[in-house]
Amino acid sequence: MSGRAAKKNQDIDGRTDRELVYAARDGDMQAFDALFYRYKDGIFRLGLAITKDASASEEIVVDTFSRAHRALARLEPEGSLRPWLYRVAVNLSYNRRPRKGLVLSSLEDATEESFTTDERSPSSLAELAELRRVVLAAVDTLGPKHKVVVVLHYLNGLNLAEIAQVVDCPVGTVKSRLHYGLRHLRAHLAAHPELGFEPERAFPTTRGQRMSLAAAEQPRGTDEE
Amino acid sequence: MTCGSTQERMSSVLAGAAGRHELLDVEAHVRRCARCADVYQGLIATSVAVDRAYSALRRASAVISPARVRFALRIPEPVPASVRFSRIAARVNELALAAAVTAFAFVGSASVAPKPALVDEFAPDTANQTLTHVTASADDQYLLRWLRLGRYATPTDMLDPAITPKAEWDDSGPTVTHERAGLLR
Repeated sequence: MSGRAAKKNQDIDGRTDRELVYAARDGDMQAFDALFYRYKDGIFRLGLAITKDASASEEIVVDTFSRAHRALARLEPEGSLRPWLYRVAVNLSYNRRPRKGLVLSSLEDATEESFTTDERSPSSLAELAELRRVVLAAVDTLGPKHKVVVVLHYLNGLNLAEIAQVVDCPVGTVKSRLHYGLRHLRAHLAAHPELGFEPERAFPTTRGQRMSLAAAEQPRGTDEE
Repeated sequence: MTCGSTQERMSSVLAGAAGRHELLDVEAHVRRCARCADVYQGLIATSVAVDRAYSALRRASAVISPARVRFALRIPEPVPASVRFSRIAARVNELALAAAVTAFAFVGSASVAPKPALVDEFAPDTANQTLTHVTASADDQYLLRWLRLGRYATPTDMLDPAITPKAEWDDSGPTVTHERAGLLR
């Protein structure tokens, strides 16, 4: 199928995921292709964010849809098929994660083309590139559970309920992981004041700490008087 | 509302999952509590930074065909109806051509096939007589000879008019005509 035909297929097919799954189950390969075109980019980005390898991400897309095709008979998507597909993609991505010591091209290389097409001033582009480098490095320091939540929310745009379906845990847990992830990121980003990040201020928690802090903040002139 | 519960709700506020009531509660608490206000401001700044960092990657797309999935699953490529019809038409064409060639071959071979030899049905059936050969009559022998002469003889206008062919009973003189005609080989 040519690119134009694929785009047409993607645009025209307004059926829900459930309808497409049922049609694909009956052997309609065009319905399966419509599902593929609907979700391939999101899965590719998810794989790219975790593995940082574009070719591995393409393989993750293919493997995810291969598994979906094999599972068509037992798939019963209530709403969207996206959580199921993303859950498979997350598992595949973590199975393909580079081993320690193996250096792959960074995520910035994968998105280099996007930088060059941006129509902004060189200084703002450089600032954005630096911000991206620092933030993505900080995201890499997160544990897998927290990183998945951050990536799914900020990169793939999933809401908390969808993330809960993907990672198979309650929404409250997702909220907690997102909160922890953001605070962890803030602590890392605080090391870069040139990017406008301020470290979290220390507030006294006990009465003794509060008194010592008040004494330290008291002007010296009053003591002498 | 305590600081702990407020901070737990901050992530849902940042994720856009909080209701209006929850949002107002958080903002009211943040106005009163300096520590929660600091945490809230930090989370907002971090959230914006992560969102901006992923903005370029959000535009990334995979140039993959679903054919790769079919290849991985070893499913044959679906054939469009138009291609299927053209394949059927081509097959019918091939069959028609083959039939035409076969028919031509049969008809051609029938027309050039040797006709059965004439058999003299009234001839006596003897062991010495060959039934498959017909003995030519005297007139036929002359005709055959004439035909052979006509084939090998040089046209008369090409002959030397000075040399007159001799009669059959005249043994003297040149036999140029016959020699040139190739009859005396």
